Amino acid sequence: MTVSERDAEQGRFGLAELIDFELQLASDQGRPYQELLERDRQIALRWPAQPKTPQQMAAHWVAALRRDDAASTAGEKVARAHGLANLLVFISFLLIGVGVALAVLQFTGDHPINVLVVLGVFVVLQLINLLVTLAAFAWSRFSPGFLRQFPLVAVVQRLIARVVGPEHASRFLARRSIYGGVERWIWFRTMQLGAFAFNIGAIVTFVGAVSFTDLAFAWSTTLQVEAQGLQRFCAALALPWRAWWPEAVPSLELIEATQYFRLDAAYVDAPPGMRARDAAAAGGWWPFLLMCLLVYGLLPRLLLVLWAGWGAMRSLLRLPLDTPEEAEVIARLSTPWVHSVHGDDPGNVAPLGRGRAPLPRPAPLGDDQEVIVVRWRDAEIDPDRLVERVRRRLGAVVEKPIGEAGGRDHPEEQAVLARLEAGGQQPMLVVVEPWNAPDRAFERFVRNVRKLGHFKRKIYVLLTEGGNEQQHAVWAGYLAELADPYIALGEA
Amino acid sequence: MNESNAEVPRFAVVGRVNKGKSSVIASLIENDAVKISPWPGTTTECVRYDVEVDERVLFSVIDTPGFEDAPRALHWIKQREVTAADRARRVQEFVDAFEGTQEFVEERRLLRPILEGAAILYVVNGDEPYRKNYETEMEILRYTGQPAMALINRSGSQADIESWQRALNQYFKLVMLFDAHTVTWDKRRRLLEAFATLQPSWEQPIREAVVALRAQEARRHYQVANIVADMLVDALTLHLTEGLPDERALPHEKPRLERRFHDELRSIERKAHQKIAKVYLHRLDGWSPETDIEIESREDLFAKETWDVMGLSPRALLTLTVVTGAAAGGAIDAAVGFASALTGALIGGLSGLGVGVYELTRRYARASLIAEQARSVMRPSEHGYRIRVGPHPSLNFPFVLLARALSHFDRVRAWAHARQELPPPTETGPKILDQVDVDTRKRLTKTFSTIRKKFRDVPREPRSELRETVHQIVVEHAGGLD
Repeated sequence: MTVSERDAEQGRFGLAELIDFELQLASDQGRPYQELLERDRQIALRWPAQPKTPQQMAAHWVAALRRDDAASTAGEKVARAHGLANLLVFISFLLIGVGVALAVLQFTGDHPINVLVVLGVFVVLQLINLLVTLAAFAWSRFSPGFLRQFPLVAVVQRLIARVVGPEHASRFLARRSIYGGVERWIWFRTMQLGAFAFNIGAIVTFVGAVSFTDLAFAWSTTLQVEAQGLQRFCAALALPWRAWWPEAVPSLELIEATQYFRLDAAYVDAPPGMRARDAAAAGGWWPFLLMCLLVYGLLPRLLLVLWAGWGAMRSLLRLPLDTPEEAEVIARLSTPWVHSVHGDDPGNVAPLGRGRAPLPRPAPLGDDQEVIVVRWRDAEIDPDRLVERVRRRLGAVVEKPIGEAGGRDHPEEQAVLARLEAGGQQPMLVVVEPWNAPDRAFERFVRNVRKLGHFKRKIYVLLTEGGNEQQHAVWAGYLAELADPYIALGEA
Repeated sequence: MNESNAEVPRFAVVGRVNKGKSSVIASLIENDAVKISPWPGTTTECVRYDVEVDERVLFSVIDTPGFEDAPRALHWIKQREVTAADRARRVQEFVDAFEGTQEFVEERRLLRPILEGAAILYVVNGDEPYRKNYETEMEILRYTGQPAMALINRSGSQADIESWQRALNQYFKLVMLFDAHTVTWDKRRRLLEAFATLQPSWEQPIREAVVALRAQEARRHYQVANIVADMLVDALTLHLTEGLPDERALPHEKPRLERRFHDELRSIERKAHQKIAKVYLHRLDGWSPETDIEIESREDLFAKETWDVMGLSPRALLTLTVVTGAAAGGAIDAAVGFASALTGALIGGLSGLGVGVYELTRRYARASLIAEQARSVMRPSEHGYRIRVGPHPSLNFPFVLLARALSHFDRVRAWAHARQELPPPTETGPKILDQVDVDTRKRLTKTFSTIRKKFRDVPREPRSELRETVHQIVVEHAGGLD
């Protein structure tokens, strides 16, 4: 199990998880929400214990999605690329440190090495560099992506973009991405790692040169600096170690003895013929210089590497996850998924009567023909009004009593059938309420009427008042489906 | 589908054909897949819908074909007198007797799940008058001996409700009113809680379902807030730039770019509205709200009527600008130790008033020439001129978008799954944003301003702030969950 996998399993966000999280959010953008809901809730249900924080939840989520996709993820590639970049930076700066130290400590025996140059390169310049880096880091808090202006960061970023591909890189490298908040720590750590390696290289070279060659140090400047002034400066620099290593603090005698003028090619106070003593005195600077390198070069960088590592870890642990798309994931993981499952519904929603001949309107019967009127399903009618209308519109006479069918008492329907049987080919008017949709019972009733014989018996279905257009259409369609040429549809 | 479990409450939704059984189910379980049509006989087989919470079935609802020949069925059942204890067996005999025949097909299908232990949810259409023949169905259902409740599905007239209630009360333990076309989550919750009263052993799973529904609704509010917040950010940061070969193209290209800009804003809004509908599980096959938008029509985002109805009222807008201006001027007064005798606050307030009056008339963004970019060494261009439109400068614009989103949210929540079309917007009542307090409005104004200023790269903080504020507004607007 890799570090990244272990982090994810334990609910910790690493760099790889962060980038995968970012990319997953981007790829989820166009997917149906229900699909995401189902996927994420199923992931959450597989966890043996509910993660305590949203960050842990998101890390577990990323880990679960990774398991589903066994191939190496973009996040893992970027994390590896960062690791590789850190290694390359470390090696490069180690070599640079060695090179710079070799250049500064170059001693051919002609002139001693100027202590002020060593201090300038390894203490003053480094402290200036440190201050600039810290200022840039502080500024990056307000301007995400600012550190990308640094050549080292730009080069490493280009390398990473090449590893994961431009499409992925452009997503998580967006300045306002969640990665943007962590990135400054990661780059800062890389920069400090380089500086740390530089100091290691310089110190190792320094120690090697001191151990295996004879170096002669002196101090030389065009400025009007007195030995006492330089001694005070050196004593101030040596403050951190003066108490426990007094030998690493240059004495006034040493400083006075090692002031050097290249014009004369000689130490200022050195009496003639004392070269052997000069050489021993000149070597006395090395403990001070070594401590300067350690305390003002290596130690701050080591502390900053550790601080940057801690900062990166802390920012990964406290990812805000507060933008809509991030908060959405947490919501999907933490709320129950309510849904319904069902088998196939073989229901038929096709309109009735399509392709059938339209139903005729009730034609006048005339000759005061007697008709049997049936109320279907307790249809409410005014009998007198109905009788009057039937007479006026159809020229027919209603035979009393009005029959009942499809109502509460089934025998009443049987009684109607008996009357019809006795009545020969007597027409039947069925009064229905439009909202009482036709059903099998109605169909059976019509079939039973036809079974009585007299297939040409006129059946007029009369809709009562009320009901809407759709309900009327239902009746028209249903009756048309019966394909009975002697059925007509009208209003009561 | 998970296997049925004896402990899982099951409800057979029964009733006369075409009385809205499937509509009730579609709305209850929020499923657009339930087949609904105005034609009788749509439901031909029993279809079981298992409502699952995290893959665990909490209850099942069974859609059944409607009663079609209940009087004859009851006549058969009553042909042999039995004691009350044997009535359920008699119904079973009825089902068995006609097995394999074409007689009483629907009745047998709908009675089978009831005889297997499902509770009865009898649905009637309360918009239609009560008729005594319904008693045959109720009588058969009573014969089964299963726990039963009745649901009066009504959407319009109340005229016949009382007679329905009087009749149903005689047959059912519980009678409820339910409008399958305007079901909110609260009505679903109440119906579910009523289910629990039918059988004490079902209380626990039903309670779990209610808790899950509540959590689901809270998540939906959260989701809607996220969609609205994203929409506001997208709309407030939209800007279009175009290069022009020479100045002569300017009069033609400026209006074209402005049109495109406003169309894209409409599109951003439309997509967000669709997303909100999808949150409530509406399928939206080929649907888009406010299609064929006409400029200056009432529904259009930039129509005057829209801005009058939605967004901040003139009074609220002027208050906001005057207070903001006065606060800025007051800060200057404070800086000089109030030696200015509040002149700063006065001038600031008056300036704010001027800005407010101007804002009242500004609905459209205008394109402007950015020629300096064309001459820039950093951005050499073959075009001589560049014009840009956006971000939309109006103070009221994001408030109009927000108000319309909330109005759309209301419509979607009232959009039952039994209904094909989105309900119309409510025409009456106070302005939506009147419910948002002044502090929240000020906070929103500040956030909108930050987003607009940083339109090229919106920081995380204002996005996050906006999400939280909109969530608070959505929750308050929805009126809580209890």
